[in-house]
Amino acid sequence: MSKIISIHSFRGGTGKSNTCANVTTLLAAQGMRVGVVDTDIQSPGIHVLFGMEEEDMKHSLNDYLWGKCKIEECAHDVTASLKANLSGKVFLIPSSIKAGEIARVLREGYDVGLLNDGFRGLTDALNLDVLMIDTHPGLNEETLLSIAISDALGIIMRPDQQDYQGTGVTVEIARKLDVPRLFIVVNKIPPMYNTDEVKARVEKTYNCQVAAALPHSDEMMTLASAGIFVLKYPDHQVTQAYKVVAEKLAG
Amino acid sequence: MSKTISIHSFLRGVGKSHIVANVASVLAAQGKRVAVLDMNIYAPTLNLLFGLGSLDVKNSLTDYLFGRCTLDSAAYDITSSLGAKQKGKLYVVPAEGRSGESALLLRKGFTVEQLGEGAHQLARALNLDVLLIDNGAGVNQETMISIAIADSLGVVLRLDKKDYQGTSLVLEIAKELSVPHASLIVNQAPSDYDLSEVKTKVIKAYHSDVAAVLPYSSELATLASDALFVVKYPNHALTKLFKQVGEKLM
Repeated sequence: MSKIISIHSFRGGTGKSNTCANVTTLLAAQGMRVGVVDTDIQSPGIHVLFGMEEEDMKHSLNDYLWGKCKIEECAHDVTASLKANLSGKVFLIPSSIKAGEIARVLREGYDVGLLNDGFRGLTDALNLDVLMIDTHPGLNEETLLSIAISDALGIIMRPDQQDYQGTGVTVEIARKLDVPRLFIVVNKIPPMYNTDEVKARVEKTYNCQVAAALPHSDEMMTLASAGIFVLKYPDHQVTQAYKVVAEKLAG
Repeated sequence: MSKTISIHSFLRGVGKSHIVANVASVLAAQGKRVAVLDMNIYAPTLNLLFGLGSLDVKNSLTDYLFGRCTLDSAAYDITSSLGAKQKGKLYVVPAEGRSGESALLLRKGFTVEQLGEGAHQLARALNLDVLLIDNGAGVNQETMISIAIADSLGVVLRLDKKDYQGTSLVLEIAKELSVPHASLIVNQAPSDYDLSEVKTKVIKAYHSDVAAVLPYSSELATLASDALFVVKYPNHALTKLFKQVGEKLM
């Protein structure tokens, strides 16, 4: 039975795309066939982590939503480009980075129901074990849909007042939508904090399990989304934490 | 004549609001009359940074754009948050109040004229030297309107690959909209980088001025949105850089 895992955050800049890309890679390393969809149509970014440029994008999620192609035609097998000899597969369904196409979505919107059909279509056509959804930040129609259909949800937050309230609302909603596996990931924790303490405090505040409390990492910041952290730093503390996140989300 | 400075970014979470709040604070501390407008309608941030609880907010930007009040009646004097005996003035116009109508506003939209007139009236009523506008991220109708009325534009980016293409796009749009002056603000540069080298590289890559390269600061990350950095750390190197940003944008 294939699983749908959504990675969400209330605000932007929490490290959602990096978390999604790294968890995707870890699952593929375990031999799974993993699809990853960038549903952040207004601000696409995860393709950068997989080294994809504009000219490499045959079709994007946008093309599917506008009825120009089937969903599986938007899937790009990026496994080889990771140069990591993974036993599984990574299929990326990117969002368009053409300014005109982004503008068009902002103007016209799209049928959110089509997204749902797309997710099902992908899982079947590509025989996926896992479908990872990199969501748009905040709570809106698309993100609520992704949460509603997910078997597991990872909510990324930073230890910043700006994130607290919104994360609380998202946890509540995920509970109401009966998401089977729900975890918080606290990211970019400044060096002065004790990550175990942060983990305990957040778990208590939201009454929700924290899959990992990730410290701010200079290596991650320097890598700057140019690649997949867990491949570059396989023995790093943050990589170990990502492994725990992957385990918890995949179940 | 009051100056309108608009602060943008392509990506979210690059630190725009912290930069706006801290630059506004140093300008006010230097004796200027400053107002900050929170146009981050999707995700308001400034009331938190300036300690303005939602219960204190009667009028907001949203109320003005729905035609219910003047923009200056939505301005709250928060000069005291900078400490006692300030030479200048600091006002904040929050994005929305208790009504939570921002979603409706976004659907209705607003015009360049509305924002332009509001900014003009605010500057006159409060006798402002500078109006700083904090925007939502990305390229959309609201952010483009804000770019269109700016005398000076600051585009914030981090040294993250996801940022590069989008930042070029914002600068292009600024050119098309004839913004008199645009500069980049590089934020959260890794602490072991040579900041002047980064500045040179960024100037070369974007053919644009760079107001400052701000290093990642664990003090700022720890302080987060609990308080204003420049008030808590008045002699910190980063505070000096915020002053530099203010000077360059003015």
